[in-house]
Amino acid sequence: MATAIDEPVKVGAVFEHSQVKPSWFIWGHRRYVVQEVTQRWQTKEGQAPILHLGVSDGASCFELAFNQQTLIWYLASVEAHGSA
Amino acid sequence: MSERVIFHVDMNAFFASVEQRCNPSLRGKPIVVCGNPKKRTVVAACSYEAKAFGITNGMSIFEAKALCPHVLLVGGNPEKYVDIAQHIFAIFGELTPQVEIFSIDEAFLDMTGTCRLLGRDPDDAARLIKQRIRSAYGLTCSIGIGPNKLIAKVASNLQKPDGLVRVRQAEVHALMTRLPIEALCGVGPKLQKHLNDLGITTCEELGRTAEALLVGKFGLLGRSLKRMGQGLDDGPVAPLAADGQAKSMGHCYTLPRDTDNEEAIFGTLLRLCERVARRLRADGYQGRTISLTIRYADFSGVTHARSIPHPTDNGLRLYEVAREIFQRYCDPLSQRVRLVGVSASQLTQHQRQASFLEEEVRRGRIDRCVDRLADRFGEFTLVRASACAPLVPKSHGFLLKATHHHRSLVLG
Repeated sequence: MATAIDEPVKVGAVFEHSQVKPSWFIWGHRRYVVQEVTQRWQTKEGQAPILHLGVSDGASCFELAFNQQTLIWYLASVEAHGSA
Repeated sequence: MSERVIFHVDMNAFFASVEQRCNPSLRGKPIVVCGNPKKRTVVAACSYEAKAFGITNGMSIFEAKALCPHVLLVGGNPEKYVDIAQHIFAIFGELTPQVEIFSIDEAFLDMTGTCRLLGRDPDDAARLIKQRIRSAYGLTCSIGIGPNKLIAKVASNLQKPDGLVRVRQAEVHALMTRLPIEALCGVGPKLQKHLNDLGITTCEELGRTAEALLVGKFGLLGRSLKRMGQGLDDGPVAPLAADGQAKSMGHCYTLPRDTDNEEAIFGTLLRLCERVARRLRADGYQGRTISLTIRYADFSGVTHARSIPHPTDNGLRLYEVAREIFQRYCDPLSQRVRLVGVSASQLTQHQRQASFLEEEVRRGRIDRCVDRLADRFGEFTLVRASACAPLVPKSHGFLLKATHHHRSLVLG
């Protein structure tokens, strides 16, 4: 089961073909390199559109959330591969 | 008249597939999507790998683990599934305007006009849909093609996962000859038993049974059953916009634990009423009949309704009526409560007439304020303190919820 984190993180992303693709992010003084964007979906919190991306660094699965109103990235949750 | 071309698209193990797509390490493994396993929850969806162990939707986690001890539990995320489903339905909408959303993971498409206009073989159109869904979301679906919705839905069930089955009009009779009645949408275990008791086990037998016998046993349903047995269904593919008038709005909630704590029950009831009221206001409706549902620990339950003279979209008014119903029919409690539900029906468009009653005016102002806050900051940004009982016992007024996305705005 994924562990909720909900912390702001620094993210490096590429905007291409009308899509945003995170390349890396820093959480807890550690840099994670995104190997795969596994899923995308959108929600809204009030007026703020939130873009959610499932990403994997090969070892763990993360959910990054991008608030398109405040332009802040959050690490929503983390799950080690195979743990579920 | 040429044959209709109806598609039934059924996403394969939708919730579980979305989660397996999200987390590569879950792929190929038995997983179930559920609520918080530390609280009372059931299997909302299971992967095909889990189904191979006999795990089914609706099963308790305890039962699922008994069948497959190494099954992986994944917390459900309804907002994710809804958003992905909406994008998939949008893919359908690009091919035909006649899309009927049957559930979060199923839809009917009337492709008659599209195939004729584009000179496209229905099978090719179905493969295009499958390829686009797989390309966008990495998900598979089963598509059934038939001359009507009934046959299309039967066809999609014949090959899972990632199936594509077409049944032409000329093939319907042969299909119904071998099809068991429980394969028909709408024939559940109870109806199946009643039909079995009449000696009817296949669709062909159902179609050959005298209408008078079926009507005598099942009423008007008997007539429909006979037609279903013959593979007949004139029902159109009805997009939501064609009949967008809501008939009722309601919410229910299974309590974390069976309880006879009235504060907990009424706190939940108030939250549900506020939620129903917000939906009513958002869509411009007011409700005249309020229904209360209570399900007890032994799964028995009661539903009672009361109509009020003036329709309402106010959560507190819905709650007052629901409390009156509770006091009349459920008080004192005969046993612990498992589920609480409330709904508003006999809906009318909001009349927007000014009220002279001070209390109504005040409530209307509060509702508008709460709605504006919710629109800006998210649902239940402002909640009634009594709706948080028993965490906030005997409180009055409102509590402000801080979301992590807006913490700086709310507390700063």
